Amino acid sequence: MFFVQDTSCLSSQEKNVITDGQFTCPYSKILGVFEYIRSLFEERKIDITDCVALECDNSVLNVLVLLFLLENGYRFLLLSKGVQSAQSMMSVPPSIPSFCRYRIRVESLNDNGKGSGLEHLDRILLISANEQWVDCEAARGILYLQTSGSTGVPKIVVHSHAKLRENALNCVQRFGLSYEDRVTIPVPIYHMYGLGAALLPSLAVGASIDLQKGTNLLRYLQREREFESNVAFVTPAFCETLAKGRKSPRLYKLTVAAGDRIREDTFSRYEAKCGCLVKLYGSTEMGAIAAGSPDEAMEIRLQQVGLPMSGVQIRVEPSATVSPNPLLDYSQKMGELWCYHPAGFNGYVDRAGLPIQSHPDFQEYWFRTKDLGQLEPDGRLTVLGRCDRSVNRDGLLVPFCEVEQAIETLAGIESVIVEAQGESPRGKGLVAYCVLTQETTLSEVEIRNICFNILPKYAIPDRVVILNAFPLLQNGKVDRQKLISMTAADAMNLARG
Amino acid sequence: MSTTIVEQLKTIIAEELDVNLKAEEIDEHVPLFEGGLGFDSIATVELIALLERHFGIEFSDAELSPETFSNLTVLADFIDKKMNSPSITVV
Repeated sequence: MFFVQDTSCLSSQEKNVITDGQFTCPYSKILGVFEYIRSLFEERKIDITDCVALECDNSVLNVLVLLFLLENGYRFLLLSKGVQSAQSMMSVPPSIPSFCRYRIRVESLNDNGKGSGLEHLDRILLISANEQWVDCEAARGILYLQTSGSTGVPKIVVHSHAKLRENALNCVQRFGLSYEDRVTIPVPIYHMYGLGAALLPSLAVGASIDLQKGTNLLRYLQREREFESNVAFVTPAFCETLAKGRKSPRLYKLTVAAGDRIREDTFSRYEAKCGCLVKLYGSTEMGAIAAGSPDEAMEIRLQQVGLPMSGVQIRVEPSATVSPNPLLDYSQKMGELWCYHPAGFNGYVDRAGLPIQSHPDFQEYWFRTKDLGQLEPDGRLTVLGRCDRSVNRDGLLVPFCEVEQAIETLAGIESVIVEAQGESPRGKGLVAYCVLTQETTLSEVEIRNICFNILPKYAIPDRVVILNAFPLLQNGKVDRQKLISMTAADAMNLARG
Repeated sequence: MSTTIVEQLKTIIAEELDVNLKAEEIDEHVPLFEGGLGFDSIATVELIALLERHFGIEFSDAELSPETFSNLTVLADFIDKKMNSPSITVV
């Protein structure tokens, strides 16, 4: 096997499993399932040169189909199963690009299917032809991923299976994953984080895997008791939930958090209750760029992301607008991160499958991350936030994350998101959206008044908005566009400062 | 016996939890999560804290299970038992 490194786990004596709580497949049965999928593909005349779209969620059968496609060098697009519409409770199938000839969908097992699954594969593995299919020649062994689109229109990213595997092995090494581990994956496996950093590395070492979809605190704790996990891949938001909701400590060997900034106090509280936490920094295009290691001291894991992965080079392009600012304590070493990754992507394609030549964010194998960060003297990477999450005011750069961090230190503030909106006398208008802790009586005016003591004048938000909660995207990240639209109507009244 | 607890739960959810529900809209027989009241993890964590404060109880990790929280009737029964025998723990 190409992706499963340690093939001894496939032998019939071995006990390691892949489970989703409903259906459990021992590694020893994987090759048998492959035979079945192969015969189904032959029956449907799906050729190795055809491109298929796999609608995926965190279920065992999806993982088996995914692994089958990878092991056999198929060209395929991995995408989410579609959004549930609130009205009908029905899932709307995602639209697929014209270069995919077939659509594969694994139906969820109902309760009657509990414990079985393999016997009913023909009923739950649905293959349909794409009526809009237009052939587009391309090499075999390609995986297409869609970017999450949290900052705009989703792009289609091209990865070779070989580099994807290299990326996975980087993660195995950095996290020290082994065959003994029991890994919980509650993050979606159709995104690079869940796929490239969590699922494929776990498969590579033959670790037991617990897949969770749409998890919540209670379900997570229940599954944790049953599965006895010792490694977890989570989002910072879920770290927060676990740190708050868990009653007594239960130490994991390792938890990996990626996808967003993690607050320092969340980090410490999580670590006290659940054990070693490391950050991972990456993207759909590059896979895992840098990550912490469980071998590092907590202070280092808390402050920085960690060392770049093997062979990865980072360039910090000093942004012309960055000015040294003693009050906010950022240095001139900070700038936009560019990344060269030997296991990075091949490029972008359009919806016809044709390569997009000379993309401005991908030049001579250097990828523009659009993130602000800096390299520490010891080579470790610190990531501050998105570049586009900063504005110029009074001729000085104000990264939103710096303002957020300052306001978050106030008692009574649970979390803060800063966005640019409208204009103010200092330049772009700044709005701080705040969620308060319970039993706080701070008003919007009071918060803004306190800002005068903790921020330089040009970085004080023009407006403070108190919300009960932030609107979220399906992937758990904050829906910034919705956030802005919530206050856009009265954005004209901003100019106070 | 736990009918009054059900009513108290509805009031807590309607007035203190950020889920935009009115007490009279809440059906004590539907699930708390998707397909029912639609609570997410953040609302769940908040609800647990509110219940502990309001009823003077403390959940153990093992009691934080989907079964205990399957609907408000079940939850009310659980709280009722817990309040009457503070030492009870589900393992």
